[in-house]
Amino acid sequence: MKSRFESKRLFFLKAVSPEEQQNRQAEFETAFLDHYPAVYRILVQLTGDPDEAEDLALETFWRLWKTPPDHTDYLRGWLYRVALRLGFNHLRANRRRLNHEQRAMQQSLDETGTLKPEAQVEAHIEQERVQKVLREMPEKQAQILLLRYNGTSYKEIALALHVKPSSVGALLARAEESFEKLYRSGGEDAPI
Amino acid sequence: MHPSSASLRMYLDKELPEFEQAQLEVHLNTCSHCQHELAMLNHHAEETNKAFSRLATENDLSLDFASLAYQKFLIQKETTMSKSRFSRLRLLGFAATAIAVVVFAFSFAPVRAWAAQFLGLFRVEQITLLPVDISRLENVNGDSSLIDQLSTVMADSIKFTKEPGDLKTASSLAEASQLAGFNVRGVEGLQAAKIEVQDSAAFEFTLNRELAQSVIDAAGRTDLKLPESIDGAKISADIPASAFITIGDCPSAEKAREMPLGGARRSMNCTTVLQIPSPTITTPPDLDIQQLALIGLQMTGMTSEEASQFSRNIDWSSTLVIPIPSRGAKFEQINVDGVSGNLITDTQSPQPTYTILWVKDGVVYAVSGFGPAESGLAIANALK
Repeated sequence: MKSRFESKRLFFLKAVSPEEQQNRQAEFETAFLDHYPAVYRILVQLTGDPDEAEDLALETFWRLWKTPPDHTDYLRGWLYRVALRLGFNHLRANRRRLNHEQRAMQQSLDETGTLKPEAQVEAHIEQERVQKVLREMPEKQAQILLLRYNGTSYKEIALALHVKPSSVGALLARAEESFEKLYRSGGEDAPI
Repeated sequence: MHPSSASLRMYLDKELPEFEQAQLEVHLNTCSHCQHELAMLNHHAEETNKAFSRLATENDLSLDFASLAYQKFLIQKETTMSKSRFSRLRLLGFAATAIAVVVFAFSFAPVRAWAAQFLGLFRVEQITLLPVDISRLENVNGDSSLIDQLSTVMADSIKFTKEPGDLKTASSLAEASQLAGFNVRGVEGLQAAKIEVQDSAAFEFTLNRELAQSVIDAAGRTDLKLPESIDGAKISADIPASAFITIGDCPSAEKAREMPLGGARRSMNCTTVLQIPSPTITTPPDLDIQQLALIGLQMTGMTSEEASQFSRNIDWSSTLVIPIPSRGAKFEQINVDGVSGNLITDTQSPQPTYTILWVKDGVVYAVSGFGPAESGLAIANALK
């Protein structure tokens, strides 16, 4: 499902009166409820960790609250861009804390420490494999894939990533080729 | 003539204008080369699509889910805003951009300090503060800040030649000194809450002129042209190990770095002491640092003449130039630890915050905390 454009000018101005404060709060709440699920979803896909994704998503909206864009035709693109940057920064910071085998093992156990059904475990391993590739790819390529495979159109991708719409096709083709090569080689050779 | 792979990819997604879509279809009927090319693109796209479908997310996250998240946001917002709007980390990040870069950002994230990239910064012997109207830098092009855009530009060009290791906790200053490889100074008479040591790191960064110029252009400064010669120039940085001492009730350095809102539960009773030997940055001998510095200074709002004047008074090979927001921060030169240093205080938050910066014997220090700067100065002067 394609994200809709937002063409109205955002009213995130520095409020001076209680009424303006209220308007700002109301606009922000609407934007939050509209876009939070999409931002959260893309962060879960990137990090593989719902708790971290929640923290990062909340941080994204904190940035929106603190420093809103003066004007944007595509707020979700702005949010995606901020979220992905936070996400990749977080992954780089944490890359040595937990290797992929440990993550896959952790996700194989439920809250009581019992091993989950095999199908579920396999699903987790497959997800980890995809996330590993995303982490290993050039960040820009990973971003374009995450956006595209979350239903973002070429025009929206161009707005979100500040690239020319005419270059999205080439960027996407290159990203998909890179992804597929890494995914295949990661599955055949490297442990997850 | 064959269409480009970009056009073929757009064709696949029906993203070409109607006329071009139809034209390409006609071409494909008779061109086996392009048919093969299209099949390859389609294969890559299908395999990628299959892989992404394995990422476990719920497609229908309910309004309740978003509402609950919003309530969490409000609670955390109140917690954060009741402390300081201009958080210590942010203050440190603005006030000591290069220091944040060399310790926090270089260690854990791509380069964030746009100023640092223009410096022929080799060994830090002194620090000069540069007032900057950050409103220009924070909202450029209607959305993300110039600094953030530059970070994105540079993110893909950074290659770590030595990855920073894990943050290690030391039980004493002696242990910290051993881990860090330099004499970690402590506060006489005060028991440190925690001493953490970040291992050294090294990275290379390749300048991409086109991308960097596009950010400058996006900031409305099409008059400032980066020289062609910088394209492909390789800059390397060696970031020594650093020590981070926290005194009082503080979040861990790592958590505070990652997420000022979501992760940190800051207390007003927290002072941090950061110390790192000067990083070494190597640039190609023919890279004109002076010229880049002039462009960087003009990006802060200086005129060409002002930039030249400022630059004439700076030894770029030994001076760390740190941009400070001109609004919301006050700064002054002070005597600290027997040398000349800089004090930056946040003038906007309800609870004052400060950062004291100085260089002594080749080590860069930053003491930061809430409350009056005198308490930080006392700590800085007590370092042994």
